[in-house]
Amino acid sequence: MKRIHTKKWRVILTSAVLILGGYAIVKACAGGDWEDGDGSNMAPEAFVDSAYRPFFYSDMFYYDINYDNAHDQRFNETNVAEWQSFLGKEISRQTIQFLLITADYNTIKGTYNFYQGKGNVPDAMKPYASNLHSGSAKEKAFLQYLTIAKACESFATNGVRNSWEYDEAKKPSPPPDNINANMIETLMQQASEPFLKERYWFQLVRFNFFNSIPDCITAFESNKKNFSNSVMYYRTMAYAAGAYYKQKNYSKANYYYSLVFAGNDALKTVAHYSFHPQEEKDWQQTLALCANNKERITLWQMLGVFYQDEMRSMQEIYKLDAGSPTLDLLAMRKINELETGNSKPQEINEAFAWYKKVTDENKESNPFLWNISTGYLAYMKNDFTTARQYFAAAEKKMPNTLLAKDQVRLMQLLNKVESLKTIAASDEQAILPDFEWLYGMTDSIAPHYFRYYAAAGSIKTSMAKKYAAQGDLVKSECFVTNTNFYIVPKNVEALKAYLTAANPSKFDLLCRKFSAKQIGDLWEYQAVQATFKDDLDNAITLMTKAGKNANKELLGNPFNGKIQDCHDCDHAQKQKVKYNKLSFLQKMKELKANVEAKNDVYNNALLLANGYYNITHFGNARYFYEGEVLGSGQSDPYAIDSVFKPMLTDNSLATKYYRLALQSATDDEQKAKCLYMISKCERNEWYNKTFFNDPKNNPEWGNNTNVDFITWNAFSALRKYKNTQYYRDVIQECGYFKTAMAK
Amino acid sequence: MLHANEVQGLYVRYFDIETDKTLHKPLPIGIVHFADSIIHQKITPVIYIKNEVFKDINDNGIDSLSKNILHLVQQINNTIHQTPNTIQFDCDWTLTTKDTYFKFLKKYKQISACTTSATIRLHQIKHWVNTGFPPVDKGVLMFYNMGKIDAGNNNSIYDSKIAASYLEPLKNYTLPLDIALPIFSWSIQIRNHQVVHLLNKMNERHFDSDTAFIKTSKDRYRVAFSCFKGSYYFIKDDEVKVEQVSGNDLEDMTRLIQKHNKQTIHQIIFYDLDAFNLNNYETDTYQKVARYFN
Repeated sequence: MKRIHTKKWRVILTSAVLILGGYAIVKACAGGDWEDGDGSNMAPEAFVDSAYRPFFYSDMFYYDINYDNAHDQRFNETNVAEWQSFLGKEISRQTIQFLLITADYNTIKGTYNFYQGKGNVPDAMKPYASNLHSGSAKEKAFLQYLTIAKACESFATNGVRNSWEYDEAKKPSPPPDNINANMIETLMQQASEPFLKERYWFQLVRFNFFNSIPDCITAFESNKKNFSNSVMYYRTMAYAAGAYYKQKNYSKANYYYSLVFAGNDALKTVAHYSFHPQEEKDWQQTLALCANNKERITLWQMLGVFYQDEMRSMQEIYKLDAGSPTLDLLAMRKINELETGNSKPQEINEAFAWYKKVTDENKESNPFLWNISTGYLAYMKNDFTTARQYFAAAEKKMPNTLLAKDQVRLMQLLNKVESLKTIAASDEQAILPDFEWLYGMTDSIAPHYFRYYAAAGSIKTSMAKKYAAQGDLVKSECFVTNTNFYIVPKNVEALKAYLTAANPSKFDLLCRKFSAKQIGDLWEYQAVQATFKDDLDNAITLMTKAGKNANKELLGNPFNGKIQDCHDCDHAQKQKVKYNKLSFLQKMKELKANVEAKNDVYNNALLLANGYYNITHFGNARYFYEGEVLGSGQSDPYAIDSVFKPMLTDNSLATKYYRLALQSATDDEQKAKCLYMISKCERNEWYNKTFFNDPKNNPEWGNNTNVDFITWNAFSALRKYKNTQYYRDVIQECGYFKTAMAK
Repeated sequence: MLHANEVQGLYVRYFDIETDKTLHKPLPIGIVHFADSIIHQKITPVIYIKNEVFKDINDNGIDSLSKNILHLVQQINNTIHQTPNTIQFDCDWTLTTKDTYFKFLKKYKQISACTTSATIRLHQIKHWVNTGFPPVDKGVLMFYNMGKIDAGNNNSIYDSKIAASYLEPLKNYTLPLDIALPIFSWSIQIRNHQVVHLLNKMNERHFDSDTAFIKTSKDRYRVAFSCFKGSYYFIKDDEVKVEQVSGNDLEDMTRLIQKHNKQTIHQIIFYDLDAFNLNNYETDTYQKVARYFN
């Protein structure tokens, strides 16, 4: 009955539509798998005892581990250590470990027989034989105990049996050699060492849990006064709690689970999983069973954590003992929950009032936690002055750990940035050291558990928003990039100037580093824009300045003009001449010069048209335009940002030069070819108009507009060239054309 | 109530089958244990099989599964001294598991010589062309759980509009069908307009008499103070939405079914008949419903 958590939040960044320039901030997205702490600014590890780690706020069942599957191995190490301590140094740790964890029942039995003078050391024990001292009473007692413990594992550690045999599925597996409760109880009575007595007691209670619930309870209750608050004590109590639960004595069961929860760290998840008040009545009865406030406090803590009612339980605990450290986990969980951004303002206000009261009264035992949390809640309410006060107070109380120091610094930085109404040069100076610290942070140097990703993102968003509001679009763009910035030519010029200005301040250097686009990307972008305007001279000038971007090689022959647009085929084909972005432009210029000089217009215009076709999204040279500004890897025009889509899907230049080629064609073969190429452009334009310019019309989402089989104007014209080889080639390769012609 | 309505048969879920995560083979879970060994009504065992069981199963697997199920069913039958010659399988099969599930159904019939039936969900009526007709003697149309469980004003158990949208192809459904109508109710715990829990077998009878719950409308309550109830924890200002099917709703459902139905319905099954749900209805509700199918 844990609350269903909905993963509504991925980031705590907010987007806003700005007035100046009229563009929206792009959200930075956390990619990859969801992890505990994503989107959060406060690491519980800085404030709360690690014993409570599984109960830190999380979308998973348990923080960090998700499901607890450690049932069969939870106490392996503890057992080895405790037996080592009992048995002394003469028997090695490895031997103890082997006997406790690996050896099977027969090996144990055989080894015990050996200690009794009956028989030899079993084969499996032979590697450890030199470690065994058959005269040792303690070792013998150890082995005797293990015969019981191992035998009982047949039902105690094998979990639920799903079987096709009806009777088998009902009962637990019986232990070997008719081991029964009486045997175990006798051994318990006879054992002289309290250490052994306690362990036999555990075995007895556990045995009865699986075989006789009333006896389980009796065995626990009548012997518990003889034992202390050890690991075994709480393990035993947990079984008794389970027995009471099976009897539907929920009050008692839950009371014991609370004692286990408080008494032993390793069993906290076990107690959590089993703790189940049913009705208000048994809950009240559980509270009534408590011997003192400490026990009551444990119950309230469990309620608050397990049933997500941290506010109520903090208030109840505070009344009982304001200095109780159990408050820490609850206080931290509530903060982590509230910072997800799913809460109403009223909830945050109520929480703030409560946290402030507790902090100001100064009776709690973790002023670092309470001050920073109160400050954080004030920050969430946009009360930055109050937040600053509490963060300063937290700083005075912080423990001397790097995690604590960085946590405070982070909160103070978040607050500083958010409280800025405008950003002046003096503000930039003031926040520079913190920015250099935060943005120089990497996982390898960050204190373990430090949560800084969310703040790194949200601060950038906040800065971008503020810069845009005060008209500094360039700095805004450096912090958070946005495609709308790039359709205004003077923006691009301004960014170029900013990135290359002489004598940049340290803050400017940081902004430049932030900028998603570097100077070469901007020249490249402008070169592409010029190309799509048929201004090849300018394009070449610009591309020349684009640095290594200019040398990027196109994947296929950009002057291909095939019947089928198979980009992969073109890319795989061997190319005699490889073009890079710059040399491609230079070739285009050469072709265009020939066209203008009326030199073999047909061939030059055709190749020029092919070039212009191929650099659109529809052609094999998308790579020409791909870059930081225009994006890359878009598999269809829907994926192209809407501000760039018109340019990248525009076939008008290709059409222009295909028509020119057509006009200069000297024979039917040439005409047929030009007409077909023009029809491809027509087709692309039809798709642009019908689908790509309106995402609602994405055919994948059920749009029924019929794309088959339209006779483009150029198809109609092509009909006249039935007798050409080219026509026959098209019929052969283009089924769409064949069908359209048959209509 | 059973006697008053001349209830002759009871469908009892004997066990579920799912794929064991460690052993990677189908195993039974939640096997029924009858408190009394003498039961007067005729029992039809129901076996619920998770769809995953049929995803990676070959012919040998289908053989073993059929034999194992038959063996366990017989053992359970022995404990109540009955030998039912009917059995019902409940599996929400999909296109990927259709072939193997149907093979299993054929095989089971062959080795058990039982009258077999399979549950049919509304979407399998609507898309019968793809989902097919299971090779059983008859189907049981599960006429419930039609909508989403959410904080809104819909009823996830029965919604006449949703039902109507699924039923039109019923006229093409040639497998003989019984109808299973819902007589269960449940409630939904809501916090900040989000579903927190489904509160099984809790309805207004639980909340009306509890001062912690204030009735705010016909089917809703507001939590007045934080408390435990029915093993759930309610925080002050949580909302509880009760979903149930009234006697009138049941009659509506039957009218709707008969509107689209072309075949004779021989049996009506009232789903989730337990003491809790039995008491929700007037004694003659069941008779009224049955009359629609005469």
